[in-house]
Amino acid sequence: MIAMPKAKVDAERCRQCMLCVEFCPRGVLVVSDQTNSRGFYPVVMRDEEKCTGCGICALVCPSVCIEVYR
Amino acid sequence: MQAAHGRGPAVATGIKRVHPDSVVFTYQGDGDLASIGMAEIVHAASRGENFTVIFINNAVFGMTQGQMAPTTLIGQKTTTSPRGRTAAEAGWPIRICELLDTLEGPAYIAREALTTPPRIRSAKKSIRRAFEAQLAGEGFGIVELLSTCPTWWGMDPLEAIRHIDDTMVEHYPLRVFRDRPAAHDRPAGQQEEAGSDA
Amino acid sequence: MNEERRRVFISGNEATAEGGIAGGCRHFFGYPITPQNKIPEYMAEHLPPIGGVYLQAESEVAAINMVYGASSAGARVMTTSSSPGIALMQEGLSYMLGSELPAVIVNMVRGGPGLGNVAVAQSDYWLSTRGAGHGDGRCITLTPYSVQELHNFTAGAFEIADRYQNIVMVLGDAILATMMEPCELIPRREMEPPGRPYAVGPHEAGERERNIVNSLWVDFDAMEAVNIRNEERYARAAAEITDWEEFGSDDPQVLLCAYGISARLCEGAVMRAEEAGVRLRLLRPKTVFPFPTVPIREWSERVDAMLVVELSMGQFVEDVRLAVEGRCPVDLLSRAGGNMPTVSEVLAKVREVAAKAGVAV
Ligand SMILES: Cc1ncc(C[n+]2csc(CCOP(=O)(O)OP(=O)(O)O)c2C)c(N)n1
Ligand code: SF4
Ligand code: SF4
Ligand SMILES: [Mg+2]
Repeated sequence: MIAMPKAKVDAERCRQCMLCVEFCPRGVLVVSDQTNSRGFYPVVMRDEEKCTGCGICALVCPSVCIEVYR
Repeated sequence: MQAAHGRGPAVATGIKRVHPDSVVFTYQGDGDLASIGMAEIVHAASRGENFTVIFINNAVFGMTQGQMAPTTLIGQKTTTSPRGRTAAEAGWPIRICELLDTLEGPAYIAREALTTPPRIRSAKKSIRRAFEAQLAGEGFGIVELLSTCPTWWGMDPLEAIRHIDDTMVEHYPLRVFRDRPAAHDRPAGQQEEAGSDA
Repeated sequence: MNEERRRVFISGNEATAEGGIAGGCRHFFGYPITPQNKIPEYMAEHLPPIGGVYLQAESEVAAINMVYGASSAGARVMTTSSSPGIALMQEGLSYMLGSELPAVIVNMVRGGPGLGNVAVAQSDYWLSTRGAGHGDGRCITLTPYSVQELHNFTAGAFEIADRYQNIVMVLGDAILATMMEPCELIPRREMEPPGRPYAVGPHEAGERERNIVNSLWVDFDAMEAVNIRNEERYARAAAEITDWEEFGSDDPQVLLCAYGISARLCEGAVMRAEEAGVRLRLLRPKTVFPFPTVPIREWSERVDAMLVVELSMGQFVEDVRLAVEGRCPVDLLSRAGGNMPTVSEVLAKVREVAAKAGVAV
């Protein structure tokens, strides 16, 4: 199996700053409709197929909660 | 290792002098480095101490709830400049890189901004270069990182990033001020090379 | 002046800041540190509009030296900080004691040593009563136990500082600083013109002798004279301003000694003394330098034992023991690091102390 490039958000550490959503060139990240234990609505991957694994989301995330696998 | 407020460069000096082969760096805010710790940073830089300083400039005392910092811009409202900073009351914002750039000691001085992806990548390069300078024994390196404080600026994270790119960089130009071996590492009797302002 | 007193619901920090303004202070120099940030913030908001000066110093070292300068220029001046910041001010305090200058310093004590934490503590007792850096000088030290007292003591501290030409330290803590209580505000006193007889500043030629503010005395006798003058003022202060309050049984078996927030806790214990089956009285100093040695000594001849409650490992208890001079057992209940004993724990300790002293409980 060839692994798909994908960004993985650690929902518990996300603080919903929205920077990854703003900067993702593919627009594949969205806010989830459930809060994490700290009361934030964490960002989740909406469309994994379209993620190119460019790593921009991880680069801008101030909470260091995105890991990108390619 | 946790140093007293502002004293990081002195503590780092002590550590580096005991373990010259260890990689040593300080992580300091603008209140820490440019206010209470001004003497320590200037003297560590002047001595060309062979460690790296990561300087987080968010133009405010964040930890203690948003008071004015030496780097606070004119007109900026903080909890201790409720009507906006005025030069008459509190003087002008201090540019640390420019100040340290007057000294012979530093090997690497750069100011970067943690805003857009290209700027963050550039910041990573500068940080890497500053540590390389340390590993090569070239001496003191400092990377100033213009950073947001959405909480005490009263902005959302994206607005705060735009504020840095639109306003803060005017007072704090992004630049590599110096990238060269420390002056005391020059072979004797040779002319000093001009600093390359990338 | 409008003598009507306004009653407000405010934090200890705000009450302290307003106390400074009420006491006639129009010059404030400080540096941010938790848990007292609301004081400089209040001063930044309120002083400039009434012609005062608020200045954020680059450090506590600078702040205390700005205070030194303003005091030598004859102004009513104050600074506030919390433990690590007060530690940094020690050099400046020592110079001011050596130069015989007044000033008001507020310490909202937090946990230590080191950076510690920002929780309640009383571990700067020695720093305040023995401290002020090197040399023989001492700070007159006031120990409020409520928001109202923070306000009143800070306002009153300027009179005391001026009367003795000495530093007055107001010793609060992280709880007093941040808790909210009703407080009756003292009307703001006008700024004193900075024309003190000892102060430096502009004057007409021949109007007066040139004043010199100095703490360097190369001559042995001159240096000793400063120390003797200081001792004389401390003796005068002991006779004139030593202050304390007592509460509880008129015929106590055990005397509780506590100051500040601990005294607040001990009040609760006295109210529930029946639970311990011991007749209990609380003596709480409002000044700890000068120390209420006389009443404590007197009680030591009448009670079976004393119990000191403090949020430090045994600092205040030393002054109690010096006053008691072995006349009765003095036990200690101490917590640190932000911890506080409960009233029940105080009562349990009271029973233990009473039993040890042979009181039938
Ligand atoms: C001697 C001393 N004074 C004051 C403080 C309180 N204090 C803690 S952090 C800080 C400054 C925070 O500002 P900055 O260095 O800019 O860091 P930021 O939180 O903005 O990242 C201050 C004044 C302290 N810890 N020690
Ligand atoms: S790796 Fe790139 S494409 Fe994928 S989510 Fe992150 S920013 Fe978007
Ligand atoms: S950048 Fe990080 S913290 Fe911010 S929303 Fe995205 S995942 Fe969450
Ligand atoms: Mg800062």
